[in-house]
Amino acid sequence: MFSVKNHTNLTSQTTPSAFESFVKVLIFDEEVELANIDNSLKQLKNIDFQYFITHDDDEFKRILKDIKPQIIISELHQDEKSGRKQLDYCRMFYPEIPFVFLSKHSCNKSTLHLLEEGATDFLFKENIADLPSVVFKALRQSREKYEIKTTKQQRWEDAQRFRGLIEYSHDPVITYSESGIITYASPAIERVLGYQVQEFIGSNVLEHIHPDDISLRQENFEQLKGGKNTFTEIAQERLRHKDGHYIWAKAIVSDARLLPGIEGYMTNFRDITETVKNKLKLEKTLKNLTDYKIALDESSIVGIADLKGKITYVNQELLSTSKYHSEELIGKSFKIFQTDEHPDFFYLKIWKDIANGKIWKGELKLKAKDGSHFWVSTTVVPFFDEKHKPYQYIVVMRDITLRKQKTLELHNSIDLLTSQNKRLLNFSYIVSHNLRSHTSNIQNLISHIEDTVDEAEKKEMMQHLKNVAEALNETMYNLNEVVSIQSNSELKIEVIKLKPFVEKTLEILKTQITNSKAVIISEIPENELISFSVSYLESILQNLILNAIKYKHPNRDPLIKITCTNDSNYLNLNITDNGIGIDIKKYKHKIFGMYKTFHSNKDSKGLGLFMSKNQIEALGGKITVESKINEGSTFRLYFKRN
Amino acid sequence: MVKKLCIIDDDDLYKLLLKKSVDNLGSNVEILTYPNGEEAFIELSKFKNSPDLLPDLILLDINMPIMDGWEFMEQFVNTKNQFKKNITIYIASSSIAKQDIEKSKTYPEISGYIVKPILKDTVANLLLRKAV
Repeated sequence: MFSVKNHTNLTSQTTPSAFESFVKVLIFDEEVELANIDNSLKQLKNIDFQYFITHDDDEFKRILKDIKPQIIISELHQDEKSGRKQLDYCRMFYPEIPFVFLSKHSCNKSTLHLLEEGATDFLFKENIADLPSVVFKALRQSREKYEIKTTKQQRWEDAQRFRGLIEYSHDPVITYSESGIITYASPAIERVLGYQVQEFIGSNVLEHIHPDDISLRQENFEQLKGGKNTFTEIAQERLRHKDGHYIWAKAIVSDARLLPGIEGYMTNFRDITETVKNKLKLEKTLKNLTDYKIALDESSIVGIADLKGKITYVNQELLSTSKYHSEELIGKSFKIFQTDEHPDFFYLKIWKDIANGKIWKGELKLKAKDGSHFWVSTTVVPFFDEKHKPYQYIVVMRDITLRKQKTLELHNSIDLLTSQNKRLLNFSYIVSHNLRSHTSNIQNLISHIEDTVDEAEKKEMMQHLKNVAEALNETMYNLNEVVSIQSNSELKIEVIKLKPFVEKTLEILKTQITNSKAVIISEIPENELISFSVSYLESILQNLILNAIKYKHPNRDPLIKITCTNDSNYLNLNITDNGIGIDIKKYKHKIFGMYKTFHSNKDSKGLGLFMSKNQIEALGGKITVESKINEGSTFRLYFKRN
Repeated sequence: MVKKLCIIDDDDLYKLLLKKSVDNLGSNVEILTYPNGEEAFIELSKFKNSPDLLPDLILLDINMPIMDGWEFMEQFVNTKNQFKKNITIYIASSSIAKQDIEKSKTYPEISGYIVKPILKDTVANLLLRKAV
């Protein structure tokens, strides 16, 4: 019933995309009219038409439904009913398809009237030459309408999409006018600030900002208004939740005054409360750590070493104690402080402990730059990496030099006290013994005097009694001397120039020296000074020199050498002789004892060395002896340095 | 009865008085004296094989130069087996120190401790080997 004619055109490739490659034309007319129409439309060289023609009502509707033509060309029949009916039908169901009348007949109603009823155009068949332009115009209008429609659709979809993005965004977005009145808020506002969207809209932005942060916000806002940037970022500000507490937020404020639909400002913000809280916590922890470090640095000597013992950090206390500059220590080994106070295995033990992750505690004697020593109570704490392996060691020290000195002094005092106590015991023993020996003799003499009748013997006994009385007196006198040393706490201490003092003493002993043909060599450096009691030093020197003469070797003249040596704590005065010597092994504990004599010399009373020892110890010094039988002795006097 | 008495002491007066006391008893006792432990030990050691020359009794002082009474005892104890005589030893000292008296008791070789002076009755008892 209907015929289809394809008209292909080679130039269709360049046809503007506005047209389909085939434009489907539905014709409602006699079939004979197709040739005329086709002929006429051939002028539209860029368009290929495909024709469907029918003159039957129902078939028209069916074709219409099946093929959806781009344009309808219809005869307006004499009765005007046929064509009008198709027009009405098309206007109702396919209003977008252009409907053009092409008629043999004029009609009662004006062209305008038909157009008003929905026709796209009206043309007499005698004017069929105009058909191409009418069709072209109709197709273009239809196309334009379609395009507008799809554009609108697109825009609507875009708008929906963006709205969705905003509405479902996790972070709230709000817009507001220049005066701060909120015009839009995304639903996320409820999650973040607790407000319903509707109750939030209409409130002022400033109501929701922490009073202390408003100035910051306004500053930013002013900058945004005056500046070239279209947005500004507020790194953190406090916003009030509906229930009154504050949250931390990061906000981006955009200038959208020129943006249609907003015409104000837009802010999107993010709840960063957790982050800020963590940050604050971290800052507090960091502050605490810094405070600890300051406290540690202030209170202790601190150094840090790497795994190989290289110094990586020193605090001011360590610098001032060790007298080094920082650059002299960093990168150096901690060995720089070592002294030979501790044996190697002691240091090895420390290293073993800390390398195993143990904390080491102990006392160390260390060396400063100038060679002086200091004692530290030390704790070495290994720092562990995430694998729990030490990666560096912190050495925390406390200067205990003073305590060590005090302890040493205490030990010395105890030693002194112990030896004094020992001497005192010895003294009491000697006193009882020696005094008793005289009294027992007196008792014995008296008994003999009583028993005898012989006057000559009585007289003899009386003489003995006198002698004993004298000896007793002398013993008492000596004991008094000894007691006065041991109790003399108010001794006059003077700075003594050693060299001239020794020379003066030798001058006093000139007679004894000359008589014994003794040669004395004094090798004392000039300007050697000691603080000591003049009378004690005189007594000690005289005693030792006289001893050296008294116990000279029978086969040679005495040679006495007086020398001086130094160590850090004492000045030593050494008196060496070439005399008969003392059996040190035998008399080690007796040499300096009271009334101990080792030679069958009638002059020895066993008091001299006891006195000398007491005198020098009373002033914090000491005396030692080295000797070889038949070779000689060296007495060493230790004078305490100040 | 003691026939040979040895006094080891550095106190000459004591020795003189003791000799007088012995003489006054009228007994015929031979007396050896030494001024210190060392001399005594050296001299006595020379007689160790001759019991007749060794003393029956030694009165030993403690406090003496060169070698005191205790050191003498050390030497003697070490070599006593070589002495062909059982010698009685008394400490005779002016010391009343407890430590000395106690120390003397640690030597089985020491028969007693006599505090000087040794008056005539004590001398008599000693020579008669009576307890003192």
